[in-house]
Amino acid sequence: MHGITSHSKDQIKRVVEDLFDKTALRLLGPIPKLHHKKITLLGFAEGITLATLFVQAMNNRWLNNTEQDVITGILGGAFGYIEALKSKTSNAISERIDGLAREARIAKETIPESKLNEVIQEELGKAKSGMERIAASEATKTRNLGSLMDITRKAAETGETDPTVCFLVVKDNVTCKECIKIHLMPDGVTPRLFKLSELKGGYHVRGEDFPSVLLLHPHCRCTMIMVPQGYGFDKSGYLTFIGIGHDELEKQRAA
Amino acid sequence: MPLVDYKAKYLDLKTKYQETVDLAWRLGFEQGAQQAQLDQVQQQQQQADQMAQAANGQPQPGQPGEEGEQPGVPGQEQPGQPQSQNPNGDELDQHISKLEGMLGKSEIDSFQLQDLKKTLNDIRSLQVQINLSKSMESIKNTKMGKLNKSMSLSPKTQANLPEPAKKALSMQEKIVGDVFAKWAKDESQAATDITSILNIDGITKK
Repeated sequence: MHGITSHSKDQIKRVVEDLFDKTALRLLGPIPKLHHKKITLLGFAEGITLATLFVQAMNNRWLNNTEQDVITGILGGAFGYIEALKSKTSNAISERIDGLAREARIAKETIPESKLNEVIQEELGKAKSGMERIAASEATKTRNLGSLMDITRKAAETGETDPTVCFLVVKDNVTCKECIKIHLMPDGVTPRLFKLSELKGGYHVRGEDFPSVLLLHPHCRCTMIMVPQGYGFDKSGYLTFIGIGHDELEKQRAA
Repeated sequence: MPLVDYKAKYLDLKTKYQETVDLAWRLGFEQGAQQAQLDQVQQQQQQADQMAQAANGQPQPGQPGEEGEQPGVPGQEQPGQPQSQNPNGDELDQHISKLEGMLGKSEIDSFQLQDLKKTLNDIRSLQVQINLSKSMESIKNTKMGKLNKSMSLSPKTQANLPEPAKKALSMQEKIVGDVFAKWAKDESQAATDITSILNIDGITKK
């Protein structure tokens, strides 16, 4: 007993593809991998994408070859995740509807629309949470890799081989405990300092003592900044100039 | 010995206290409103009971608390029907029970019976949708739901963060927020498109 026709499967696949491609275009911009897609987005949007975010995090500098390569890698990676989720969603919807259709044909009935909607809503709901995770983690990653590139350039300009950095925490009722524990000193106010070489390059694993340049979790709002030589934090956690030769990192670790 | 900023600590504690009081008040208010609604429903049922008993001399089918012992002809159960999440209290549940009671009566002809069954199915799916939208509303009040609200930086973060980093942070929030505002619209369109594809295929019914 057959389920839905292969033509319907193709059409469903195309609908799901359109949904994901539009989102990818909004998030990533017109990257080469999306050029062959026929998508039109109408509206007056400013066109803010991950590439714009990267340039903004880099202090609006002109990107050199290495930096261009970094953003290309980020966009390519994000596109890969979206493509994987797209094919998973498309297959899941087709397969489940196919099953329902087969059952209905065996029983010589039709699929109730409420049942069909339930299946579609469930699968699209899963896709939405997957997309949310991808968008949030890739946006966080992009912003912080932009900041990292900016810090690297500033350090090169001032002749620092291993700059001192810290993470500024946005503290409100949703700030996570891991961010407070790793990014702040035990007083819960002063940012904890690290050498850039001490930071992890990959995704953070809960329980590790050193933070990652990709931040600690997908919705992380902490921002990495460079602490120039001679600068430190006052009692309230404000970044201020202390004096020539002052080393705040040494002071923190000695305490 | 580490220096402690007592002012910041005080402000932090004050904010937490205010939030807790707000939350407690809201929860108390919601509970009170729910209880009032339940009381009203119970009162109405008692009145209906009395009236029915006076008229027939026997209890009516589909009364609350009798969900498990509904008078129904065997074989009239609706397989795959979504079950109510609040079987005792909801007003909609009472109407469903009444309809189910009517289905049990023998004087209804087969055409009317089909019609009633269809109506009952529609109401049940409507009830699931209502419950779902209620749940979505309550999710907005949870901690994760509040993440979507625009953030406000503390004066210290404002001072310590360089201007481009501040812009990048708000840009990040905007990108993720915009993507999902538009996803919601596209998602409903996609669902409609898939349904119409299957309608053309002739395997669905309205």
